[in-house]
Amino acid sequence: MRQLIATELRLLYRRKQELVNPLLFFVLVCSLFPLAVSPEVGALEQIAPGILWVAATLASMLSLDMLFRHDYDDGSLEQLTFSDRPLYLLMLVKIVCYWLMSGLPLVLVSPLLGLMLFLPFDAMPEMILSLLLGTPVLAMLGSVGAALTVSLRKGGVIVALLVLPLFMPVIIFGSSAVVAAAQGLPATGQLLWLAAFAVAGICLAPLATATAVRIAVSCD
Amino acid sequence: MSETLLKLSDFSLERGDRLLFDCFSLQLNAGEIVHLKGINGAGKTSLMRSLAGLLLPQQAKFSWLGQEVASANIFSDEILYLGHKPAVRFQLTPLENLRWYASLQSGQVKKVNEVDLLSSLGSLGLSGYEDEPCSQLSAGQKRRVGLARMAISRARLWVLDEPFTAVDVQGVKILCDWMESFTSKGGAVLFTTHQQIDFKEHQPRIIDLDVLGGTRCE
Repeated sequence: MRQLIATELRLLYRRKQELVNPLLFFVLVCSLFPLAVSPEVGALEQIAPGILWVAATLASMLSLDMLFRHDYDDGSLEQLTFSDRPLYLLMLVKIVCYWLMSGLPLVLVSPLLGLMLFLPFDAMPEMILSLLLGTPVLAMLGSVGAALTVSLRKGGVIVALLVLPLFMPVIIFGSSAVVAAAQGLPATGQLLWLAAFAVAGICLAPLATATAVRIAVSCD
Repeated sequence: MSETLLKLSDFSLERGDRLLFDCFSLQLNAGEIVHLKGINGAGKTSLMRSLAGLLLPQQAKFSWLGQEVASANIFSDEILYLGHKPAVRFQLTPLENLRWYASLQSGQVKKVNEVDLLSSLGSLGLSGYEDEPCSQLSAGQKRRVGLARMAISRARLWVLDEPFTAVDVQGVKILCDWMESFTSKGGAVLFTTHQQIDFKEHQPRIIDLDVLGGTRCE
């Protein structure tokens, strides 16, 4: 099992040019808002939670395609179905590694972007925590969409259409947690909801992804 | 007496609008090498993918080691399938690729160790390339990295779809030797090729899909 995780992380690391894309996108979108809207403190701190969450969501959608595309093209995905390990466990490994390499960097740069957007300092822990709980959910939900569309040659827009509606609750609870914290209100409720999503995602998404992968492989 | 590994009966498969198989049946016994023949489009790959559980046939009855099973997925961990796609990651080295494959087999009694991996690569003429990224290797060498799995697999049945593509004469010889020693240990091999293959001892049983012409029920 350790070998599997190591291979997965190594593969992602060697494809780092693709992993940099979402991070760069996140930073670029967030840095354009002060230029386009207004560099005023009052205006920016109002919309900062929304900007951060929308940008993080779109950024994590950007790299979804690479989750299964390469494995599908070179046939590794077929080989995964021959393992005597349960396929959902292999999928869980894949998704968690993918999140570590693509989602976690977004969380790590978010405080910097928060500062740039004048997010109140008191809301910073809630913002980081909401992204820390929310981005894994996005990766889990996204993996189902990515697996369903991997057998289509050009699945880019369809993935977005498939998974964006599923992302809605995460965005709503995520950004409202940050808004609440910025106004000095407790954000525990929203954060607990996100945590519940994360637990449900970890339990259910790999099962759905495994089934979708079996379908994708048999379409070939 | 050789036991029956896999029995397939009542097998019907449609691809697109074409009925490739109708009530086809097939039996694979331990210790035999079966050469699946047929023109392009006869359904060789489709049949192999169905046996490996990658393709869902319209109708099929599988029995594995004498036991009827609901679908081919149930025994797919006993199968080594090598298809047209090599399943070799270009970003990884041959050794890392093989390690990944070994780690997919968890329930093994004895662990595949580094020495086995290196020797299987070495016997396919890849020693010295173990730590080179696969993107730097030639097409034939990449193919060999995928084929090196045969040496470390614990599967009972090998399903090899055109394993000799892009492999040179020397390589084909080694693969044939592997297939023969595998079957003498109680395994079975089903393979396709359009090349002329000579085995040392075994005479492969030939299943010709053109002659059968889609065996019909009754």
